[in-house]
Amino acid sequence: MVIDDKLLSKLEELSHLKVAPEKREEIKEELSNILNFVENLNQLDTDGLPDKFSMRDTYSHLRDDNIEVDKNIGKSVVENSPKYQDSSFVVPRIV
Amino acid sequence: MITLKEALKLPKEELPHLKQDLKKRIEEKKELNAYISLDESGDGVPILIKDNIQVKNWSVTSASKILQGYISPYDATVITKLRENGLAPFGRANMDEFAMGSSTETSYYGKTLNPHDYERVPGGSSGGSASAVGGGVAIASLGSDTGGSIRQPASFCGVVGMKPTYGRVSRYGLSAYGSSLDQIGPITQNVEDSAILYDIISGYDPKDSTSADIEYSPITPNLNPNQKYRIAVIDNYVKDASTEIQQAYEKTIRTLEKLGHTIIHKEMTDAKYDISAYYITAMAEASSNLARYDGIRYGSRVEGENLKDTYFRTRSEGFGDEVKRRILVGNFVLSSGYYDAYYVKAQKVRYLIQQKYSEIFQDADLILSPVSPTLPFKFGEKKEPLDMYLSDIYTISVNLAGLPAISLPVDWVGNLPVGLQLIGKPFDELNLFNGALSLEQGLK
Repeated sequence: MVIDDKLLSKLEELSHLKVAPEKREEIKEELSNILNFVENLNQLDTDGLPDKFSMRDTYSHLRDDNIEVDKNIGKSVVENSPKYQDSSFVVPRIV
Repeated sequence: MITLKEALKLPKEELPHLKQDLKKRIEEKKELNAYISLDESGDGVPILIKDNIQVKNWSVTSASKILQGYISPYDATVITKLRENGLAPFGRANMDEFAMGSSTETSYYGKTLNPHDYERVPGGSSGGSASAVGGGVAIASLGSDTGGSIRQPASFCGVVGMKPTYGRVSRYGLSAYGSSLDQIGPITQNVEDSAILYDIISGYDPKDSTSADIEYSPITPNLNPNQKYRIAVIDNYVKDASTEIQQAYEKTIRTLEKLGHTIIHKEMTDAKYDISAYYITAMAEASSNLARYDGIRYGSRVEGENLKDTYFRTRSEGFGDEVKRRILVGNFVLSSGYYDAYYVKAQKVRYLIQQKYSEIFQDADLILSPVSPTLPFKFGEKKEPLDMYLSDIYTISVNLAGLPAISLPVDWVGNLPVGLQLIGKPFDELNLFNGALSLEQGLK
């Protein structure tokens, strides 16, 4: 798999981050090398195996339907955010 | 350095002296850069905490620029358990940024040194946790292991590092990297201390939906180094390791035989496939887990012209190169058109790995394996990301299959330690610790 400019731009968009212009060539090569390596999995026969892997199927816990909230946690999360007002996060204007 | 077992026996009034002495030692070996800071929280035997485990009111940053300014609003479950058992978090340990690395070179706070050779890496990602214990500046520490991040630095620093069965230790309060792989575990001076700390942090936790709700019997009071086991060695694995590692492996096999254990020979599928299944899975999970760092709720923000621009600027400036690489690859393997060929394929391969381990465990109680293919390498030696990934070849299949494993020092080459790992059956930690204790005593 070769990561070209177009695909890297798509991945940047999906990842919500930009690669610095001077690092683009390097990162395209690194990502291509990584993907070429992991394609060795195609040498393994996996026909008939399930699509999803779970460590164990016994992990879904049931509990009583009670509300358990530590309100202080929510409060300090907001107060420790980069910008807040009252009990809300402040973000750049959207509309 | 006093052991954890000894420290737990100290009268309460001795603990302030112990902490003073510890601070002095840390100051004397400041150049290790194992500690990001010397935060304290509560009374108790001081335990060093990796910078991705939440301690209430501490700045907890996963050694990343993007989390500068973040203050943890709660204790991770493992921290609550430490407090309940007479221990207290003491100091934040350096690590690779978001636990992505095998050398602690990707930390925002700079590299941590190997306590036995300052030109070499301490391993990673829990490099600070292992370097501090190996360098005599921590009694014990907590690390996290997604693909070897406890065992490999423990091996590089000459200490004991243990990764519990997936689900055994609560992940509540551990910054998520690869959620289906991550486990918190102890890094200690010896096997018994490892069992003590493991007992304290283990057990079912309703706050972690992947926590295993099964019976738990404490290990420490039941430790028995005289138990004899059938231990499998994976002949085709070891051929890829350096001569020093192979020699230490052979020597250890002879020691285990002398101790009365039975060695049996097994084969595994080439570990190059483990690397692929691991990195696809870990990067996919990381790309989702790290989507939350957008400058709105946590840590630092770089203001942009609009909301989207703020996300982009915050993440572009806040994440280091390795983290960016993994997010980009993670989004690639999950993206439409490539999902089946990469992500789904890797999940199918996890079944193959798990099946292979089950087959071996039909005949064996434990598996002996190298931890790292080489001795601790020098700083800057692995420049290519793929070279660094290949150094995890012996540790990652354990995470892919969710097994428990313990790395312990078995030999020295000059001033450099060699660690090997024992791997156990799921939730069979008692036999894992027994085997490790037997080997540790046999090596004395």
